[in-house]
Amino acid sequence: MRASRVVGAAVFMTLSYMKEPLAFVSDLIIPLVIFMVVQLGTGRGMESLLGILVAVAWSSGGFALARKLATYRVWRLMDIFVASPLKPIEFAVASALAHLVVIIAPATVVLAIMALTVGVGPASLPLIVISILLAWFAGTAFGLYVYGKLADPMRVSSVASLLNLLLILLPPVIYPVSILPPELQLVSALIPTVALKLVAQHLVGVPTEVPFLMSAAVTVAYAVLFTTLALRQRLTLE
Amino acid sequence: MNKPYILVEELVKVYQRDIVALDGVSFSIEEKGIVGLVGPNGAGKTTLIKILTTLTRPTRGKAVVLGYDVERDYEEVRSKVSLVPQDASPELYLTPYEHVYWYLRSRGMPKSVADKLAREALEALGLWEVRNRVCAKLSGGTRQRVLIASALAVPAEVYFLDEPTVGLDPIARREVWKVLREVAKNSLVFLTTHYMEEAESLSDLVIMINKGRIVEMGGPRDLLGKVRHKYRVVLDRNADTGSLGFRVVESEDGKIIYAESEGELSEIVSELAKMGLNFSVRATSLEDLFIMRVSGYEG
Repeated sequence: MRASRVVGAAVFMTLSYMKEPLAFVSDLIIPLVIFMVVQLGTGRGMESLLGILVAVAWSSGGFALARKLATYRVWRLMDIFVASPLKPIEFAVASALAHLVVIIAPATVVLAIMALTVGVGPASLPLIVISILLAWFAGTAFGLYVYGKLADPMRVSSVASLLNLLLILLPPVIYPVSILPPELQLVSALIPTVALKLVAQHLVGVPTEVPFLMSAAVTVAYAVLFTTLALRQRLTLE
Repeated sequence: MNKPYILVEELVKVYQRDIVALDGVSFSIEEKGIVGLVGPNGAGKTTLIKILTTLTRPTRGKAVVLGYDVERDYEEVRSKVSLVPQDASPELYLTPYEHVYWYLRSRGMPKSVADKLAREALEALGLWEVRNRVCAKLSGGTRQRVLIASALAVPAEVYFLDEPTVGLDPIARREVWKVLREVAKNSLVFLTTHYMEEAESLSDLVIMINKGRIVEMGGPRDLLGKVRHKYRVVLDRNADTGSLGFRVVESEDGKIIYAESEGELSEIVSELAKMGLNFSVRATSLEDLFIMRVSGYEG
């Protein structure tokens, strides 16, 4: 793998997002409203903000990436990358890195809200960053898998929206797990995005009802599964 | 160069539902220059380009680019070719400079080389003035030139361009031709086109393809020399030619009658004049050779 090629392709993909630096604002409106309701209603806003960070990282790595690749396929831009020395694995890494950069702006906003409202100290920052990276990694592998699985690139957007609903909005990612009945709390922890949020909670020291080992095991299992599935997809060949 | 630029043997591509895109195509290109692959929609032009650029696999047969098998040695092929896909769009939020420069970087070019090549390509294709405007704000033809600049900026050994001049105005088209001629001095430019006139005036070698098969191949002059009928008479598409004693071919331009000699031409012209039909006469071109081959007019 050649770093220069990866960086070149990553910047090529990132520039379009950088031309619209405030595009993420609309994506944050609903999560932040949920955060305010949770904070005012239960006082567990920190949990909600961690969930938003996981959601931002997962969505960027997963859905935004899959959409971007699908767009490149429709535009036939993918073809010019395939017919070049850039290897499929380099292209995949470049796509992932490009979408890591995209996380920076919304994550900064959420971290600022975190510091101002629930009071997070600098000591927690590295642990929060680790949580974001975990969610980005798992989301990226998931996004690459979803993209590779769909033969018709026109369907990627609608599938991504459905998965966003099923993996981010419906399960207790942005709202606290404790709102659910006890029997559903453990079940919900089997959802990758919920498990990622619970790991983040454990790392930062926000109490949860689900044991750390379970959340960590679920997270690792999904990360390995999605990575294996993504690597098995032929990303750019017929 | 010992190995042919492109060697294709009995190439077959069958898509799902038994759609045959290529049906036993064979040819070899030994020398640099411009090769024009011409044919109607669905003839198999794009499929051939896709196989040669490793975007799709052949069903049967062999395709070799610069001595490398497109299936087995696809990485070597990819490192030596550059492509303008059909109906493609550049990344709309990038400027032409960013597009060309970062595409070159993604191919592993060092900063200074990528900058130099990007500048040269943008200047050559008349994009220097708009180099810092995002592609979304450029016209369709200018966006197409951005894609062409991205491909031609690459120091490749073979350039594949799939209908590169579609959507370009006549002046821009001729600018692209000029650049292609320059590029073809040191490498092979393999392009597909709908425009027979483009293939005729631009190509060193013309390959005519129809329904997945090569119907004719050769230099434009050699091909023109093969046409026995030297004149074409074009009538309106709705002209009533039922009682004419000459063979009539339907084409996009209208109804066509071919004449082998001046004598035959004057016979046709006088008969058409008697019938009060409007018509025009001109010398036959490669387009006519193609029509004749496809319609079985001449051998």
